[in-house]
Amino acid sequence: MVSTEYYIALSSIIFVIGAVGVLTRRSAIMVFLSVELMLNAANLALVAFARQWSAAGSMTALNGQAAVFIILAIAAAEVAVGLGILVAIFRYRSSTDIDALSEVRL
Amino acid sequence: MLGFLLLSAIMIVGAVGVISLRQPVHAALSLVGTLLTLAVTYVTLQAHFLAAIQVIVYAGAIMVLFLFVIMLLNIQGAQQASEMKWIRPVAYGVAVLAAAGIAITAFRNASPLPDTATINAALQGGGAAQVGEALFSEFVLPFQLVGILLLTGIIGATSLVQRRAMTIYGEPVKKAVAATKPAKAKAGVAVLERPEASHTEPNHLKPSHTESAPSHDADIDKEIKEILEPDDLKLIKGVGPILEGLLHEHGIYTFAQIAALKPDEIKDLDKKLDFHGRIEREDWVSQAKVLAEGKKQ
Repeated sequence: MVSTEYYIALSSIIFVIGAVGVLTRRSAIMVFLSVELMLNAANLALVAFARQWSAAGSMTALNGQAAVFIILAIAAAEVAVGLGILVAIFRYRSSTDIDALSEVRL
Repeated sequence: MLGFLLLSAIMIVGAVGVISLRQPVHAALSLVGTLLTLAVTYVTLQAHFLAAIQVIVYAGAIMVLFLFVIMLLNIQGAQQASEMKWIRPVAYGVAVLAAAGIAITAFRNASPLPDTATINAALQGGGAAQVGEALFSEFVLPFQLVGILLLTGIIGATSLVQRRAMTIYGEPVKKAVAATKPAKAKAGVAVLERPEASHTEPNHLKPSHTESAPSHDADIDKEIKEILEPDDLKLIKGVGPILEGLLHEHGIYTFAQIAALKPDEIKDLDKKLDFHGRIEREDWVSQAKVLAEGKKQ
């Protein structure tokens, strides 16, 4: 079995790739996609730690997986609201360039 | 180990694709690849229920939403460099440092995995029954809160994308024209054309709603077109549908009207419409002058 530290390393790589995307892309939709990458990297770490903690008993170990379930639901809500804001902004500006959105007004 | 390396390679390639591909659709599909690989990784970590949920909710529902929005808005991959040129090297540098830091910490503090029997006994494959038990015992409160959050999110998203155009284009325009009807009958010239009396009566911009008597809406609609030949004010940079509606509400329909605005009128209009100095900042007046001249020719 592959030990936990490899999963954590993979998780950190995916997370920083997502972070670089958030910082460097200008289109809001690309920033959103990068945020999804970061969320999933955190989920991977949680699932890997859940297995690492199996010795502490079934309840403790499964808490990690339950937390991932909650994060999935939150991500769904975040995407719905975020894309709603994106559509609203696009209607006024005809652009999703976040550098041009330094002032959030009508 | 070989399987893990293969999965990691696919996942990292997909992730790099997400942040480097120019077309948003390609980037989204690249993310789908990463998410599906992640689902397989969940299976190797004995989280079977989460793997299924990952495919259904993430790679399914959420990505479909993304693709819908990308295609609905027809976002093109116009990738200009960021205005802050220093951010790219800084981002890459910090990213490499952070990833290396986390990985080194993980490897240095690594503790051995419990044996296979313990893992199997504790996780039991991470099926729906096992995760559900944790979810409905220790995670009851977060579970309920997430329910509330989802409800709030649905209401918020719906109200954000709701169309309000009809209330802006419909009623106020009719009221404005109805208000000008008596004036036109007296003077023979539409007040809205270019009100010279503006100095004496600063309230001319706001048509009084009291004397409006719109009997035939269709007549009034026709009249708007006859009197004003309204220009597409959205052509002015900085004016969108909402602002155009507000300008109509205050009796401004043509480029010529905006071009002829005097400084004190601009200030007045600015205050009334709550524009925070936008008219001057985006220089609507000279924009409108150019557009008005272009219309004449």
